Amino acid sequence: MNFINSAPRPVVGGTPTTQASKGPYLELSMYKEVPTGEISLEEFEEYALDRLRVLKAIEEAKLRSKSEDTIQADVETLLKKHMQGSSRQQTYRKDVLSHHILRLAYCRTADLRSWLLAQEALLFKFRFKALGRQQQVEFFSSMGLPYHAISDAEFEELAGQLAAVLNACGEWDKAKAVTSSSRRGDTHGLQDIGRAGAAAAAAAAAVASRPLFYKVPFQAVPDLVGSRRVLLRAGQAYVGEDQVYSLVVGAFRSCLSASLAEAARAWGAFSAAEADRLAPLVDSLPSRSVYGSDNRKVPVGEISAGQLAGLVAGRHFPLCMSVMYERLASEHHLKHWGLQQFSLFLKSIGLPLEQALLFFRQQFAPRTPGDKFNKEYAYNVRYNYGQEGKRQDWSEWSCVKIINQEVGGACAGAGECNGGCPYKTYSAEQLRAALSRLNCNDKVIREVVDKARGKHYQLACGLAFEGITGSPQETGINKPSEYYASSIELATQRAAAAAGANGAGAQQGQQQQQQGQQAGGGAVQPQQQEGPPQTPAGQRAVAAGIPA
Amino acid sequence: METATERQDAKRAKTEHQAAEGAEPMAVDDAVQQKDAAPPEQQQQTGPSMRFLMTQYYKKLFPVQQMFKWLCYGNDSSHAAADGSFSSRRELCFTLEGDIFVRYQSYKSWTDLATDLARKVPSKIDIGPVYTHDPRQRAKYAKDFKPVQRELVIDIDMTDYDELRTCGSGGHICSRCWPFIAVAIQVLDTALREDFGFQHILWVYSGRRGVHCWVADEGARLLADDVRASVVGYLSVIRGVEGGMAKLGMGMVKHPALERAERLLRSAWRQHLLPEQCLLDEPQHYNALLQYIPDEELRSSLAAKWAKGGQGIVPGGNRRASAAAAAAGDSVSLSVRRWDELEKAVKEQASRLPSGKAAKALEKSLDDIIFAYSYPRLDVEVTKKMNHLLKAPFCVHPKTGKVCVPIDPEAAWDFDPDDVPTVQQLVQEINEQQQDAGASPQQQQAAGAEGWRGTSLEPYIAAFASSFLSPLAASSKAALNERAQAAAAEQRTQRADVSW
Repeated sequence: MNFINSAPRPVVGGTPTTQASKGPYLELSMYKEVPTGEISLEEFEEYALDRLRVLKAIEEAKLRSKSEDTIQADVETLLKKHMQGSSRQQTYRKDVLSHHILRLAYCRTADLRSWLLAQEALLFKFRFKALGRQQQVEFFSSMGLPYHAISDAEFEELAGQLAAVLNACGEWDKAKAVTSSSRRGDTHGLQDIGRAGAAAAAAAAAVASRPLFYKVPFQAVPDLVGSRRVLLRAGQAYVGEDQVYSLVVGAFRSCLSASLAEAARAWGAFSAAEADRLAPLVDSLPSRSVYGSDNRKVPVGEISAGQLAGLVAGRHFPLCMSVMYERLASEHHLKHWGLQQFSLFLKSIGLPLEQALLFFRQQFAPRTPGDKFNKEYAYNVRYNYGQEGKRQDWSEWSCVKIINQEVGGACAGAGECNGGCPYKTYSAEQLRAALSRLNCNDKVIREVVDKARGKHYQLACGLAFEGITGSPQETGINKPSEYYASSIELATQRAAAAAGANGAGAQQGQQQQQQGQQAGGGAVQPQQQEGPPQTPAGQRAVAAGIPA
Repeated sequence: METATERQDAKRAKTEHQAAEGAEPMAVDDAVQQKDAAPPEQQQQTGPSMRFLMTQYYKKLFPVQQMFKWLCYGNDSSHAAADGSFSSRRELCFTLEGDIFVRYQSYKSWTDLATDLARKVPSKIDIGPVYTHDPRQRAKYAKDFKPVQRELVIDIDMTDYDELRTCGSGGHICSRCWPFIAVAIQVLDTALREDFGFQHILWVYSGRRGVHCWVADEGARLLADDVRASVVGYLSVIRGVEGGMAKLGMGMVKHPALERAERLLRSAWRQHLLPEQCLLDEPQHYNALLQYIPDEELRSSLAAKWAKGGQGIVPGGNRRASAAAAAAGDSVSLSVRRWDELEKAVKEQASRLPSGKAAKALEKSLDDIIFAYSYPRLDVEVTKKMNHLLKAPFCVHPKTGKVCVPIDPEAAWDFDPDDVPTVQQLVQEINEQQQDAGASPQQQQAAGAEGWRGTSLEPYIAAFASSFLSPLAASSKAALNERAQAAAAEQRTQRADVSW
């Protein structure tokens, strides 16, 4: 009975790689060996971001419940686009290096580790599945996993049930193959294939062209067990040859999981030694936006989920919304009213329903798994877009409604955000801190706090706009989206002015500058287009993320 | 002017700050006080107070030694490979009067546990996982403190059958809805043994409206959370209920495990569920069931026929008469007859259909009904996580007073939740025993160690010991021997390395 105890999860010995003929990007590695050699800081960053683009795109596809086949095709395109080097060796180098860089960047917290583990395992699975059958079997046997194919005798005994499982999965052809070879297999008799002969068995069976089945402890293939796609007997799962990906991915997962835990332990010493050079870069990787450099332009009035981070970093959101965004990013949760307020705002600034669902699902993700999100929150978001209930096309909450919203001080406290107007709910201290995080001019902060004290919350918000952008907001703010629209308009004008600054069209720019000076706030500072202090690439990404 | 307002500002801000700070701890205090204040009112009931009964129960009846022995898995022995820290790394959680949760309790020996039980008199004990360290010292280990093993547990709750059962709902349970549970035990027990190869499986009645299953094989205890979730996936078919109909996660062709389940369900269906639940006696029940038949015509013709004919076949065709008829064995119950009619009608209709596919779909609806009505409904969240707490066997259910006793899965059909001993009854039995024996106080004390002997709790504890504990002890010992051998082999190779 000790089969259960003996091998809960296989530990992998070798470092198999395959030389795929389909294309250089298919070369697959278990990343067992840590690469040595030199890499420039620029490359370091570029490799990491490129791999993140692939991983995030896979995550997004998965969250949108795209079919396996679609994602499989997507992955191929993504790898070609982001990961392919000038030669096979270059591609391999980039693959290995970027993987190890992300290991470093994502080893620090349990959340980060589990995210990377999930995405890397997915990527690995799709890459493995892209291999040819022969290559799959070779890769599998080269891993030296302690599994062996079942003997002819066992195959004969179980053929009926194996076929039944295949039929239950809708694999009619494979089921037929099993039944037909079992009948023919009578002549094979009771040839038992030895323990060590897994590879030999593969070859033998390829000749006999009988479908191969490996007998493994059920713990090694949880996904197949959970969806009843294998035959289970006495704790052993009978894994078909086209299901070995599950074993390979399982081995990959446990291997990576152990490495990440190891890296987390080593991180302390590393980050101290690299405090000035690599550590800040590595630290910032998980929170970087990878969408920016795609330079996705969305027509005015429609934005995508990927742009939101850039918009927040560009300080285009009013305080109530940027606070909510940050709270969502750190807590992975918003309370009901907070979610309503925020999602209606996002809708009003042009985030389509599909993108909104994607965004919130992603943000709620580690804490609220996708299916729980679908059950408990997706309805509210769809409701806001008029897709549920009385199907009204709800508009954004006005400032008055937000101010009067009973939040129980939730946004001000440590709990999860329930929305509301921070100029009302925050203490002077908190308000000062929040505004200075947005690089608001110090003198203006004092005035804002003053206004907030005097219960002129909307005026306070207008003042803050001035303190943050350097330009006054003259039309008044009655809805959060008005703040946003003014900020975007200003940024667009400035971008145009900057583009025309060296030409004759500096007129607009001059006007801008005058406006800025009139405002009495600080002069227009050159870095105001950009988000809070970030690495150069991050700034570029943010600037590009603003709809022009 | 400006400075004055600023100063005012600062002052106001300060007072607000203080108020906010001051408010929180006070609120917490209030909550605690309220909790403390609540229980005495509830406890003012007739007869001996629950607290008194529970004190007696822990002193004389609760099989603390057996329970502790189970949770040690041989690590309490003097075996060379035994892990002496094992039992002190296991979390027990007590619920004290007034629903106060005391988590992270752990004990080195059964005597420590017995003493603490007598002192704290918890109204409920939950069993948690074994952690990397003693849970009482979890703060010291912070991040390194995590669960490492825990029995695989399954929870079946009768409330998940509320839309099906015709005898009651919520906390209700009786011998008429027990068949749902009995067939669930049969199906799951078979799957756990035959498919997963587990051997040490304990089924217990929760004391109120459900059953729990504890799988104690070492392999089961070490399962990672994702594998636990996969076991749940393998064992569950009903993926939720929508519009009064269960959504079934199974296709036209069944996995061998579900085919085996179907055989068990089918026999239970005709023998127990239909006659005892009277699922087809009354319109609201048979209409709900007929929903699963995709053929509108068939549905309405049967409903019409039953609406007219039902009363005629069995005079006053109500549940009781029907159940009585079934019990007497002299006639087939109304629901069973109607089911046969339904089956025949579906098959006839299917044979008339031109397309084989449609015919199969129609015939499958019969299977769907049986699975929707009788396939086990698990509370999946309980199983998925290693660190989920679950009520310990031999606890007293605080609401019913019933003891959480083991069920023999082979005899699950004969189990009657109404026959389960209650704490009130057991304490009375002890008192009577002592009066009969005319025991002196000293003798009482001596008997106290295993006071459950001679009470109606004894057969349950005896069964727990003989069919669960002793085979488990043999396995644990074998595992320890193996570990000792492996350690010895390791030492040998190390020594060899050095000499080389």
